[in-house]
Amino acid sequence: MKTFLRHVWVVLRYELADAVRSRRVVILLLLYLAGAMLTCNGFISAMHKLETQLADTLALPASSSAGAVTDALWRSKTFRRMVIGLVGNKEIALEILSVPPIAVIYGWLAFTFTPVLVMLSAAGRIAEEVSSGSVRYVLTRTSRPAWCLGKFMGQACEVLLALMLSAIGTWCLARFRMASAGDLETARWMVLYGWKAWIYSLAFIGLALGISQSVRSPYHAMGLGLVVLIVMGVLSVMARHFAGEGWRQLWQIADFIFPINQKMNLWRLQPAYVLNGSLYLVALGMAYLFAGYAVFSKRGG
Amino acid sequence: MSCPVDKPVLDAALNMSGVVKRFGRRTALDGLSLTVPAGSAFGLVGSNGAGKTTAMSVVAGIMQSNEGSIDLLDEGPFDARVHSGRVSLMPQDAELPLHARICDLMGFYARLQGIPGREIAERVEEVLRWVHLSDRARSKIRALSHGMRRRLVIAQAFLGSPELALLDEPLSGLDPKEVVSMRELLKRRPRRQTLIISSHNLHEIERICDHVAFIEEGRVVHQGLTDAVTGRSHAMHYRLVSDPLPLDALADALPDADFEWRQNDSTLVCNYPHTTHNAEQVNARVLRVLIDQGIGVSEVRRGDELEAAYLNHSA
Repeated sequence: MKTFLRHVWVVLRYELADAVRSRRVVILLLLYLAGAMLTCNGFISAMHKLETQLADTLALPASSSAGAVTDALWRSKTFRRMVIGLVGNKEIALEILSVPPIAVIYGWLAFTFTPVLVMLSAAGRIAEEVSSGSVRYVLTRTSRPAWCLGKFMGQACEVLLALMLSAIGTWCLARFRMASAGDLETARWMVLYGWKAWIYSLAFIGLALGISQSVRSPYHAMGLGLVVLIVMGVLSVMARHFAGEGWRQLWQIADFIFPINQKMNLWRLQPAYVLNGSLYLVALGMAYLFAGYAVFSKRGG
Repeated sequence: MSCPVDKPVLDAALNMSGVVKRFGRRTALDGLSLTVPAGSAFGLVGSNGAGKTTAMSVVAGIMQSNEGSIDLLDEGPFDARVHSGRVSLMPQDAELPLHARICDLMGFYARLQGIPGREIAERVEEVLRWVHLSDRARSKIRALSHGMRRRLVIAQAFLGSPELALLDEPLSGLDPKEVVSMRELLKRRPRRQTLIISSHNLHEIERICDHVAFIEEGRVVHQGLTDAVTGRSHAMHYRLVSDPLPLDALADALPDADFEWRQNDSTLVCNYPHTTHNAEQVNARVLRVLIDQGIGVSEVRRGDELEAAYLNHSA
C-alpha cells in the first residue's frame, strides 16, 4: 500500500509539473479565468444597463456602478416570491437568495462550463500516452491503478487551481464594477461555489479519464467525451420530463448514473445535502474511472 | 554500472512455460517456452511477426498472456510492486513524451523505481553519460534527433541498474560509432545483469549475446549457447580450393570427429567432440593432412555465422 500511495504521489506531482511545462495548465487557467470574467462582466454590464434604464424611467439619478438596484431587488419580497415560484422549492430558493447575486452567477457559470472544460483538458490525458506508446516506459515502473489514480488526482488539482483563480479573478472584477460586491463575504461565497464546482468536476474528471482509458486516440477520447456530455444532458432533461409511474420509473436511473442530477445538492447550503452530493459525485467519478480501467487493464499499453 | 549483490543468486532470470497470447483469432505466442540464465545476454531471433516483441511485452507486464506461466526473477509474473526498478523495457517503437525535458522525465522514472531522492541526479547523469547525452540533459525530447532519442530510450532502460533489461532492437537507428559504443556498453554490463535482446541484426546478436533462441510462429524452435548453436564450440569450417577430399587420411588423423563436405560452398566441416579436443588441436591435424595432400585452403573459421545457423534451423 505504501508503494502504491508513493507511486500515486509521484505521478500526481509529475502530472502537475508536466502541465506547467507543456503550458497546458496555463491554457486551462486562462480559459477558466477569461470565461468566468468575461461572462460575469457581460452580466454586470447588462444589469447596469437595465438599472440605468429603470432609473431613467423613474426619473431617478442613475448610479455610476452596477448592482445597487439589483441588491435592493434581491432583497424585495416580490422578487423573492417570484424566485420561489421559479425554483419550485421555498427552502432552496431562500438559500439561493441569501447569497450575493454575483456569487450565484459565478456559481452557475462554474457548474455549467466546468464539465466541458474538464472534457477538453482531461479526456486525452491517458489516450495520448497509450497512442504514442510512452505508457510502456511507465508501466514497467508502476502499476496501472497507481498511474491512473495519479493522473486523476493531478487533473483534479489542475481544475481546483483553475476554479479558485477564476473565483478570485471574478471577485476582483466585481469589486471594481459593482457597488456592493467588493466585500470579503462575496469573495467567500465565490470561493465556496468554486469549491463546490470542483467537487462536481470530480465526477467528470473520472468520466473523462474513464473514456481516455478506453480509447486509443486522444482526439477520439475528447470527441467522445463531449458527445457523452451532450447525451447525458439530453437524457437528464428527458428523465425529468418523462419520469413517472410504472415503466417510466426507469427514467429515474438517470438520477443515479449522471452527475448532472446531483448538482442541486451542491447548491444547497445545509452541510448534510452538500456532503451527500459530494460523496455521491466522488463515488460516481471513481465508478467511471474504474469502468474505464476495466478496459485498460485488459489491453496492451 | 552496479547491481544489487545482497540477493540470492538466481539460476534463471526468466522462465516461460507454454505461454500463449492471442489477438482475436491470431495466435502470436503459441506455447512459448524459454529459460534465460541469470547474468546472460540472451538473443531472440526470428522473422517478422514471429512473436519476439509480443513475448517481451508479456514478460514486462504490458500485455497479459492467455495461458502458460511466467517466472520473472524467481518472483512470479511481472508485478510492478515487486519488479519496479528490477526489470526494464526498451520498446522498439514507443515514443517518449516529446514536450518533456530529459532530466525531468528521467527523474520521474527514477522516482517511480524507488531510487532515493538524493541519488536521482547522479543516477540520471550516469546513464546519460553512457549514451553521450549529458550535455542535453535540459533539452526537450522533441529537440533531439532520431538517433539521440534511441540513445535516450536505451538510457532509461539502464536507469538504476535493473537486474533484467528487455531490449527490443536496441541498436537500430544508431550511427556506426554509436553502435560500437552501445555494443561495448552492453558487453560491459555487471556480471549479474541479464539482457534479453530482440533483433534482426544477427551480427550484433552474435557479438553481444552468449545465448540465443530462434522463435518462429510463436514458439522456440531452437535455443542454446550461441557458440553451440553456431557450432563455434565444436565445429571447424575449411573452405577448399581443390579436391578430391582425403577423407580416409582425415579420419585417421581425427578418429572421433565427423567430416561433412558441403558441395555448394566447397566447405569441409569438421565436427569434433569439444570435451577431448580444442580448435587449435583440430586445426593442427586437419590442416597438416590437407597441406600434405596438396589441397588449397582459402578460409578457416570456427563454426557457422549465426545467420547461417538461423537459416538452417528455420528452413
